[in-house]
Amino acid sequence: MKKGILIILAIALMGGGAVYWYVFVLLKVEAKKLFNDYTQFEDSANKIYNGKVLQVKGQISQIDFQNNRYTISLATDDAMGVVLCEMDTTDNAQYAQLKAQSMIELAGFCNGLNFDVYLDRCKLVK
Amino acid sequence: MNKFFALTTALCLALGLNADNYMTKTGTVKFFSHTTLEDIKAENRKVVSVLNSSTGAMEFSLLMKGFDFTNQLMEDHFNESYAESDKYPKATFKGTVTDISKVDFTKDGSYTANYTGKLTIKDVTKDITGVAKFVIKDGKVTATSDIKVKPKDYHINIPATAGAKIAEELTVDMIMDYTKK
Repeated sequence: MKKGILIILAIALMGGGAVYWYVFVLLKVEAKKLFNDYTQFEDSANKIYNGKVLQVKGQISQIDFQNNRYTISLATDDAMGVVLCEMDTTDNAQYAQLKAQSMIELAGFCNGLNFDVYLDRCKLVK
Repeated sequence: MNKFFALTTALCLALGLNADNYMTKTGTVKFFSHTTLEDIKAENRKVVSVLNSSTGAMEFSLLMKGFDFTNQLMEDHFNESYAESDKYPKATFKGTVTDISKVDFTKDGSYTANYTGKLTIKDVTKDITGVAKFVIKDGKVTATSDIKVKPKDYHINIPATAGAKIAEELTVDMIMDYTKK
């Protein structure tokens, strides 16, 4: 209850889309751990992560740009699987500056595992 | 064994033990609903699929939240109320192209073959059969097929208020752009 009031207050006081991402970030997790959690215990991981906004930290393994949308792959311990992050299109200029191999943190909605772990509507945190 | 490991095991077997396997992570599944009130279409371009060109074994899986609708509100309703995508995140097909020998993977051309298998959506698995078209060109394989799916058969219950806008039977198109692994 208190948490709910705080969230409403935060939105009311600060407003704006940027706040949304921080208020609703429920979990912070490293890309490697996220991928491992899914591949080891998919059903449990679904319950923990699916539909939640995750703040994920990881090393960029690949950057793709198609249909005006950036997709950033974060490396995992698996040679084939990645955490695949479809970025929000509103900050494309910012994403254009990113370089492969660099470390980033981003936040987005977790959709689950389908060979890779998918996040969408992602925004860069740092 | 969960679905991920089933798929990756199939893939690993394909990669490690069999040179006759094809894979895609960018397959497409789209569905279309037509009523006099409204046309609805959605497309998922992140379908993972493996095909064995010797045995005809074929699997695909997709995340329900990977469907893009033209209308965001419609997409939200689909995920939250109908598909319950957080509870049932994935749809899968596991089956066999029963007359895979009709397809010459070494020769450019267009071939048709029959398939049968089990389609799982939400908590329901049903047998389906169909005909797939295989186009072989420069070592790449594109497999296409379409089937009819009734949402209610898969426990996708549409309230009466929205029922008139959603067809009882959806047309589902599948397009798999395989490359050899």
